[in-house]
This record gives sequence, structure tokens and C-alpha cells, in this order.
Amino acid sequence: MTRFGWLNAVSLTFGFAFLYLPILILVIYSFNASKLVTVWGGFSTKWYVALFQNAQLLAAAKMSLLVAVVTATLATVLGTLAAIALTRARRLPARTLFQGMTYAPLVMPEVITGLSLLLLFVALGIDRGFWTITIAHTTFALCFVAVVVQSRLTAFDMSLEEAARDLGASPVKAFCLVTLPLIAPAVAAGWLLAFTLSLDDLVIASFTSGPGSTTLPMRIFSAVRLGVSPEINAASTILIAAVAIGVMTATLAAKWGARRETRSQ
Amino acid sequence: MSALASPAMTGAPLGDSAAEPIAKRAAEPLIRFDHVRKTFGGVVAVADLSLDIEEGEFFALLGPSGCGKTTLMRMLAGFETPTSGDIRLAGKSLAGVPAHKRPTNMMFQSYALFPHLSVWDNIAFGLRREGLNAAAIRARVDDMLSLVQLTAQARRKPHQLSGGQRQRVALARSLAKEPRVLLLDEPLAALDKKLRGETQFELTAIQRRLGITFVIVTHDQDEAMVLADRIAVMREGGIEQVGTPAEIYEAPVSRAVASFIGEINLIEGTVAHADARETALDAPALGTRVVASPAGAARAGEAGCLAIRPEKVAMRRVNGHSDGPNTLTGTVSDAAFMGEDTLYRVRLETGHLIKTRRSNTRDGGTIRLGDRVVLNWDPADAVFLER
Amino acid sequence: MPSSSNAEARAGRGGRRVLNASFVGLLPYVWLLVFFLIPFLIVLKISLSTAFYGQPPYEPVLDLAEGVGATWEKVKTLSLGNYTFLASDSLYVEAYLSSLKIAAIATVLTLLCGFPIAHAMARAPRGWRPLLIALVIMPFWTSFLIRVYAWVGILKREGLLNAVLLELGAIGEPLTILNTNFAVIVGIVYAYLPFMILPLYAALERQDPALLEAASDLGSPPWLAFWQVTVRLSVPGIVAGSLLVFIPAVGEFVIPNLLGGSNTLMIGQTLWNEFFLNHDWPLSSAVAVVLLVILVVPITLFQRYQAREVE
Repeated sequence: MTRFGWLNAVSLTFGFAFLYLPILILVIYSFNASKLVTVWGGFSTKWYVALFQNAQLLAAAKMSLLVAVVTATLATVLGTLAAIALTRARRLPARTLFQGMTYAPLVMPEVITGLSLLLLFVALGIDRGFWTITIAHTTFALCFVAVVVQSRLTAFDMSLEEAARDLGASPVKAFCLVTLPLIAPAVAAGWLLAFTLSLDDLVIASFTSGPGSTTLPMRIFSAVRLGVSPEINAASTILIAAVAIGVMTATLAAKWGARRETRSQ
Repeated sequence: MSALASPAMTGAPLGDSAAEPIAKRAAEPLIRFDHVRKTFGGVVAVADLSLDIEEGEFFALLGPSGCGKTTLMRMLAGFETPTSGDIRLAGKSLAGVPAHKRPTNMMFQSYALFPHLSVWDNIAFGLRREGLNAAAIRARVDDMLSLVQLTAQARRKPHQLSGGQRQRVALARSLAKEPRVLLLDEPLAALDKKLRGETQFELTAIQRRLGITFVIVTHDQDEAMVLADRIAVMREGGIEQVGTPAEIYEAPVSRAVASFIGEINLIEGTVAHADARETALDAPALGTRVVASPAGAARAGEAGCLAIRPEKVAMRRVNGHSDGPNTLTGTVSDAAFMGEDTLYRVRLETGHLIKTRRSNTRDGGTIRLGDRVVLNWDPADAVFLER
Repeated sequence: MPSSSNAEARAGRGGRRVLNASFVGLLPYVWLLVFFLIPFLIVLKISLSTAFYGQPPYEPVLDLAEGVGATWEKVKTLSLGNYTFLASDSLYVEAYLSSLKIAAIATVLTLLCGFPIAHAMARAPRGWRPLLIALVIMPFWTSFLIRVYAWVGILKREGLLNAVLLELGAIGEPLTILNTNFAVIVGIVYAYLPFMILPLYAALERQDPALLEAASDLGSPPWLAFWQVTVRLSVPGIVAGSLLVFIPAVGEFVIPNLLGGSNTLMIGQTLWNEFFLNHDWPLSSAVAVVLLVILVVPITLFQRYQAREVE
């Protein structure tokens, strides 16, 4: 404990205060009866009530959730396949290109991705709406899934799969019966990551959405451009709570998975 | 090797010790642990330990993991501070002297080679801190490289070396500054058995040649025996026994030391009588009385233990009647062939097992499993242990 | 079974596995080609077109159904006009430069904030580390938009920060922080901090603590040992973290839009405005292409790092 030092303790305290205070303030003020940030007008849940009467916001939330679920599922399948190809294929044609396309979207400025996808949809004559947003989200989310699953696959003990094959399982069977259950926590984490990324995205959705397919971040954005709004604080608080629960579930699931694997080894 | 003896290199950090009265230097050993105690959050790692290490010795701290040997060494290097007590080097207290100003150097168990630096730069690292000029550094590094026979690998990075080569770089790096004391933390643990044997001899040869005091931490009794001039056997934060390898092997002072080093038969019992010549022990497990000499300070009626090494127990097949002190009969229960000799276990009528070692020379005659045998030993070879 | 057919069977099995692994990659491969790579080619093509009032708002529209000859005629009308316009109008040049400057300053500040945190995490007792990592990742899972928006209430003139500073008597009258470049930098540092901490942590956590001890054993005082070993060996993490912050920050739209002021110039916002307000698709495409060209070197560097990290 003495080894840890006060300097490190101070760094952690300030670091986490910086990371969490703004979010905490946001949550606190969602319960503020007053509309002003600096004035505490007493505890109130009226913004939550107002929120649930805001039909536009609710419709947008529904749209966002739908997009996020479909995106997460598609991205998890595609991302996991990409991860398998990148870790397992010894002679992958044009590996550099594939690798580049998998990693570049992690850092690509969203305006570029959004614009390019929109222009593709226009060129193909596809009407913009639910599916164009979903395809756009799947494209960048699958890369995040691929990275998460790939790091798990690289650390995977190949002798487990070899043992299954030694016992008579075909390569595909061995993968499905042994590897897949053991990398399941990473795949689940990938799904959750893709889900939140999709739920969170403003820029790409703005480019690829059409009339009648406004997502929650787009609504929030147009509201907050005009300044602070307690109703948005309330919406944010609900989102933050949902994420917190999701992250905790995922962490517990990962822990459980890790324990299961150490037990099996 | 001329640079090793060059005056510029010797004892630079504590060089002013020459100014001290000669009498004091003679009176005090190179290293003195004076009632040193170290606790980690209530857990005692080293408990009120005093120990002297002489100049030029190859000294081993031997003990099982968690016995405090590594903590003791790290306090000497300056990575831990004693909770109480004092450590003195050449008569000067090391309290308050940070690690980077101590005239000790350490060879780490993990070697701790800087992965971004070449072999050459790793060895030069400590010399650069002393502000030597480039030519002096170059000469010294080249000397060290030839000492450990790595001149050809000077430009390689640590990850391009074999385990044995890495070990030699770590040794060269810690010797480069010509420390007053070289600390070696389990230096051979990461090597395979054959390489370990070769490296042991290399280490002793280098120590003899340079005359630097070596302090080694190890859990391997064979390694301590082969390398060290003197060994301190540690247990639970304290020292059980300090002595030469022969003393520790032949005359252990406690059951812990006796059983930690090598194979041994420990026979529990009650002292029947003790005088200036011998100590006799009634051993229920053997169903007879056994004798050890020379005697300890035991008194009749006390509980104690007789220790006898397997190679000191003679074994022959039963032919006729056998009698005399320390004579037992039993059946050969199992045998472990070990190359130059075989370790047998003989089951007595009481069911107790006695280990005996027999060299595999031709003249011994053959002994098979199930043979009835007679065991006996010279009382002078047995040791009586009170602890 | 004769040994030769045995060997064949093994080769066959091994071969099938390679085939399978490549085969499963086909779907994501095609997906990324169609929805990631080809769109860039379209952006490139449209950046060479001219704005046109209609749907789609650019011309020419290429359609191979019109025949190769007609298409070729249209291709010949493509021009670099948008690029010469970008180069000649100081607004765009300044927007690029200012984006790079803001992103660079923010990256350095993120590194300075992130390093002590990552270092403390890597030196924390082993049992705490999963929790600390979860605590760093958690904000990243929380909506980016909401996290940036949280700063509006803090930084604005009648916001929390000014209120606290006034209360403490540190300032006489409220400061204008919101709607400045400073606010944009604070926003970037805050939003991207987890991206910096995680690779730094990965690099720091891998380091053998004995290396630091070895340096001090060989005569380096603590500050020098820290620099020679801890900092020097975390360079890959520093590079990765900085790229993860710098690249998206250059093209950032949400942060300058919410926290920046009228004189904040960032290229992501410029692109957005060209597209959504001026409906000049060819010009915004040209803006995107130039941005991509600027970022191609850092993006390639990042890909290298990522590939090495994962494999």
C-alpha cells in the first residue's frame, strides 16, 4: 500500500472527479424544480413527467432503440466473423486492405463516414430511413466488435480447440462447441458496445436519416443547441442509468465467463 | 581485465571510507544487519534480524518462499526501508541513502533488462550515471562484454537473446559499476538444469576473480551449497543458522534446517540419558533406543529428535544375529535409482520408514525389494536436535 | 492406415481450416468494401462534380446504362474546381489549420491529464484494477452528446463554474468560457480522455516494476528513472492514445457546435454547414477528401499500432 504513493492517489481522485462530476451535476439538475442551472429550486420529478409526455422525443427514442438492437445484432455477427478471419486465416487474401478497413473506422471522423454513406445511398437510389441508418451504424459498429472479439481470440488457448478436434470434432464443430462458448463474454460485450455506439451516434445518423426517421440524439441535439434544458437532463439521466446497468451486467457476465474458463482449465 | 582494477573504478560512491579510522573498519564487517525488522501492513517479513557479511564473501540467503530473504536483500539495495533497526555498509549506516546512491548493484530475478536498449547500452547504463567520459565507458563495457563472452551480441536487443545470454547481460550490467556488494536475486531460477550447472561454476569463477562481495538469494539448497562460502538459512523472517555449507549440512541446529537441506531421517523420542559422551533417545517409532554423539545440552526426560543422513546409514542383508547400538532390522520397501547412488526406504517392524543411500558401485552386492536387511550407523554421524 | 494418406488427411484438414477462416471473412469483407471503401470513391467522384440545383444536387450523374460513350462524355466534365476553390478561399484553409491546432493542443492536454491517471491505475493494487478500468470505460459508454452537453451548464456565463468562482471571490465578474476555443478544448479533453487512458494503461501495466528499480539501482535518481524507463517504455501507448484522440478530434463536429463560439473554426463543422445549410454536396465532398488526405498518415500509423497490438 505504501508503494502506491500519495501522488497516485491524488491523480486517481482528480481524474475520476473530472470524469464523473459533470455527469453527476447533470443527473442532479434533472431533479431540479428550477429551470436555471445555478438555482436549486427544490427536488422535483416534473421534468421526467414532461419527458414522458413529449411524444416526439418518445418516438425518437423508440426509433433509436430499434436501430440500436438491429445494428448491434448485425454488427456482432459481422464483427465476430471478421475477427475470426483476421486471427485464424493464415493466408487471407489482401489482408492489409481488410485489416485497414476494419481498423480505420475506429478513428475516422464521423462527418466523413456519414457523408460518404449518404452519397452511396443517393447514388444507389435508396430511400433514406430506418435501414440506411442501421446499415451506416452497422458499418462502424462492426469494427469495434471485431477489435473486442479479436483481442479475446488472440489470447485464446488453441490447445482447447485442438483437444476437441483430437476427440473427433470437425473444425466447425470444435469452434462452435468449445471456442464460441468461451469467447461468448467478448461477443456479448461487443453486442453491448455496438448497441451503445448506435444509440449514441448523432453525426452519421443525421447524414443517413430521412423524413420520419429521426433518432433520439438528433432530437436531443436540436434541443440542446438552444441551451440547457432540464427535460434533456432527465432524458440523459435515464440513458445514463440504462448504460450503468448494462455495463454492470456486462462486467458481471465477463467475470462469470472468466471464472468458468479458469475452472475448465 | 585491467580496467576492473583501475583506480577510477574502485569504490567511487563510498570511496571516502578510506578516511575513516582503520581500527573501526577492521572491527566491523562489510555488511551488518543490526536488529533489522520489517513489517508490511502488520505482516512481519523480517523479525529482529542481526547478521554480518564479510568483505569478499560469497554469501547465500537460503530459505523457502516467504521467509523474508528477498525483503532482506531489497532493504540492502535500498528498495525497502527497515521498519526498525539499522543496516551498515563498511561501518556507515545506509539509513536515508536512496537506492541510486548505494554502492550496491543488483541482478534481478527477472533480469530487468531494458527492452528498448541494446546489450551494450544496458551495460553502459549505470556507467553513464557516474558521468564517466565516453572512452572510459567504452573500455569498461567492452571489458564486461568479454568477461561474459557476449562481445558478438553487443548490438542485439534483449528479446533477441537466449535465456542464458540474457542472464549474462544482467550479470555484466550489475558488475559494470564495480559495486562493493553484488546482490543476486534467484539468478539461476529461470535457467534449465544443465545451463544452471554450468553457470554456477562461472559465477564462482567471476566472484573469485573480481573479489567483490556477492550476496545471493535462493530457495535452492543445492545452488546455495555449490556457490556460497557461507549460508544463512532463513525461516519465518528470522535466521535459523549461519555457517559454511559443510556445517549446515553436517551439523544442522534445528529440524527446520535439517529437513530443508537434503534428505534426512528425523527420529522423534524422549531423552533416556545424556552425558558428556553421548545422548541416548528412546524412540517409540523404532521400538528401540538410539544414540547420538557428541552430546547436546539435553537432559533426561526431555523430548528431542535424532537426525541422521541417509548416506550415513549402512545397510546389509541379514545373515545371522546382529547387535550393538543403533542397529535396526527391516524390509526394503522401495528404491529410487538416482544415477551414482540409490535411495532405499526400509520399513521397520514398527512400520516406520528409514531412508538409506547406497552408492551403485560393484562391491556392494545386490539388494532387492523385500529383502530383510540390517541398518546401523555410527553415533558420531547422528545429531541430536532440541528444536 | 498408410502414412502417406495419413499425411494427406492432415494436410486436408489444415487446408480446410484456412479455407474456412477466409470464407467466414467474406461477408464482413464484402460489407466493408461496399459500405466503407466504395463510398469514398463516390465522395471522390462527387468532389469533382459541380453543384446543381435539383435532386441529386450535383452533376454529372453517371449512369452506365446510357452507354459507355455518353458516360465518357460526362466523365470529361469532371473538374478540380472545388479544390481550387478550397485552396483560394482563406476560410477553408484557416478552418483546416485551426482544426489541426485545436486538436493538437487538446491531444497534448489529454495526454498530460491521462498519463498520471493511467500510471496510478497501473500501480494500484491488482484487485482494484478491473474496477478502475470499468470506471474509465463507463463514461465512454455514456452518450457522447450528453457528456459534451453537461459542460454547457458548467461553463456558461451564468453556469456552475462561474457561480463557484464568484462565490469563492476568485473572480469579480463572470468569465466568458462557453463559446470559446478554450471550451472546445476542454470538451475534447473530457470526451476523449478514456481513449487516451486505456492504451497508456495497457503500456504501463505491462512494464516490469523491476525495470524502474534496476534504473535506480544503477544510479538514476527517481525522476530520471521515471523518464528513462516508465515514460520511454510507454511511447507506443502514448502514440496510440494520441492518435485515438487527435484523428477524430480534427474532424469533430458536436463539440465545436455545442461549446464553440462564432469564431471557432473547425473543419467538421464547416463540412456540416456546407452540406446541410448550403446543400453544396460537391464542395463538402471536396472538404472531406482533403481532410482525409491530411489524416491519411496518422490513420495509417494507427492501423499499424492496432494490428501489432492485437496480434
